[in-house]
Amino acid sequence: MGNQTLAGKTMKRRDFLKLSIAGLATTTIAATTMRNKASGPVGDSPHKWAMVIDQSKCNGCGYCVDACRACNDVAPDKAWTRLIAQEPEEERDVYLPVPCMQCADAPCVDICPVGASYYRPDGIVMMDYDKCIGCRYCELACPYHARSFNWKAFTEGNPAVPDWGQPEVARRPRGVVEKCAFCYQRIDRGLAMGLTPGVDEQATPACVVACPPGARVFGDLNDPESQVSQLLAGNCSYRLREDLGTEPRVYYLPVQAEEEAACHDNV
Amino acid sequence: MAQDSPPECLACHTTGYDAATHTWEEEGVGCSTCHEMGPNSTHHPEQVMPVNRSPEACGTCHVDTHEDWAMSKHGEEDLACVKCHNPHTAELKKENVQEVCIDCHNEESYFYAFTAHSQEGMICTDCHFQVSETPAGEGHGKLVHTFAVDLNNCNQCHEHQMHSTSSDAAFMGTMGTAMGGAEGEGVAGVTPCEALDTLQQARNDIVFPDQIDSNVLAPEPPSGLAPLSFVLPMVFGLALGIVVTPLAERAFRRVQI
Repeated sequence: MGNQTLAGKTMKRRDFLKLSIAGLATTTIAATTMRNKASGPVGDSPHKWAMVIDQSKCNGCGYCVDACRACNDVAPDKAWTRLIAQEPEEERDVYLPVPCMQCADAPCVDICPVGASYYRPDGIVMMDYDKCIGCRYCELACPYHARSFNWKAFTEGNPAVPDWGQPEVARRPRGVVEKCAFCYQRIDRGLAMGLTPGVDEQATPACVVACPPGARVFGDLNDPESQVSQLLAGNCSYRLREDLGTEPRVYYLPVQAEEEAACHDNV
Repeated sequence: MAQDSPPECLACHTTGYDAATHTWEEEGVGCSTCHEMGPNSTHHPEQVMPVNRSPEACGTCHVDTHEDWAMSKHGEEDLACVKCHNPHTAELKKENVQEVCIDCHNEESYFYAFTAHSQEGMICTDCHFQVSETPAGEGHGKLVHTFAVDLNNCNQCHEHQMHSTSSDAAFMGTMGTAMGGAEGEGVAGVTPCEALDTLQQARNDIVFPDQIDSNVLAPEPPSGLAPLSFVLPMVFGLALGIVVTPLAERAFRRVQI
C-alpha cells in the first residue's frame, strides 16, 4: 500500500518521505548559509558613503584614473574608475567618470557563487580576493562594467607611482576580479585617526583628492551637513541605469539641468 | 652652508629652523617640513603620517609663486599645488608643462591648433607662463604662476606693430598681410586687440562635432540578426535531440505497460 512508482521502480512511502525531508533540509541549510549575501547592507554602521560627480566641472583630464592606479596598485591595462567621453553639449565636451557604483542592491553580490563579493555595513561592496574563484560572473553581471579580471599577475613596476601616489593595498593575484572599493583603506584609517572622509584628504578616496576642478565629492549621506548631502538636496542629480534597481551610490550632477524629468528625486 | 648663512635664506633652505637660536634640524627641505613628526604628534606606523598638503604650506617658502597663484584663476578655484606638482620631487606629474595645461584645458587646445600662433610653433607656455622679469632672487619666483597674458606678452613679438601705420605694418610683414584685403589695398595695422578678434572669429568658424554629419563618420550598423545566429542554435538543438531522444524513448516505453 502506498507504493509510488518512479521510472518503473517501486518505492515505499517511507523512502519517499525520507527523500523529501532530506531535500527540504538541504535547501533550508543552503538558503540560511547564503543569507549573509542575499540581502542588502545590514548592520550598525553610522555611515552611508556616497560620491557626487559634477559633470559641469569634469574636464576629462583623467587625473582621477592616475591617482586611483597609484594608490590601489592597479595595472596600467585596467582602470578601476573609467572616464568616458560623452556627446558634446552646448559647445563643450562632456565627460562621465564611472567608478564602482557600490550598489545597495548589487547584481555582483547576488550572483557571486562563493560569496567573495559582499556588502560592508557602511555600504561599500567589498571583494574578498581570497574567496574569489575567478568565474567572472560578477564582471558579467555588473551593468556599469566596473569590474576587471586579472588575466595575468601584475608583476612590473607601477608607472603611476610615485607621481600620483603610493600603493596602499596589496596587489591582486592572477585569476581574480578586482574593482574600486571607494578606497576603504583610506576611509578606515582616516576614521581611526579621527578624520572626516570627504573633508580630510587622507581619509578621502584618491580620485576625489586628485581631481583638479573638484568635480568629485565624497561624503556621508547620513550626515545632512556633509557636502554630498547638501549637493544632492540643492541640485538636480541623476544616477546611471536607475531602471535596473541597483540603487547606485554614485550620483551625477548633469552639465545642464534643463528638464525636470532628467532629475532624480534623491536620498 | 655657504654664503654666511643669513637667517632670511635659512628660514626656507633648512628644515626646522629656529630663528631664536639660529639652529636647524637638517639642511634642505626635509620630511618634517610638511609631515608633523615627533613623539607628541604622531604614532607612526600605527597611525598614518599626518601631512599638510595645502598651498599655504608650500607658500611659506615659495612666497612669490604662492602670491601669483593666489591672484590667478587657479587660485580662485583653489587648485592646490599638489594637483599638478608631485610634492616629493617637486616635479610636474606629467612629462612637461604643455601636457599639464592641455589635460584640463583640452577644449582650448582644440581651437588653438587652428590659429596663426600655433602655426608659428608657439605653445601655451610661451605666452601664459612667462619668465619673471623681476624675480626675488636667483631662482626665486622665476616662472609667473598667474598664467595671465598682458600687453607685454604680445609685445614680445608684435612690438613693432604697436601704434604703427598701416603701411609700416604691411612692410614689416607677418600679421599685416595675413589680415589683409586684396593686394595693393591699404591694410589695417594689426593691433593686439584685432589679433584677439581674429582668434575669436576663428573659434566661431570651427565645426563642432554635433554639426558633422554622423553618417559620414560612422555609418549605421546593419540591423537584424545575422544568419549565423540561427545556425548555431540549430546545431546545438540537433545534438541535444540526438542524445536525449533515445533515452526518453526508453524511459517512456518502460512506464507504459
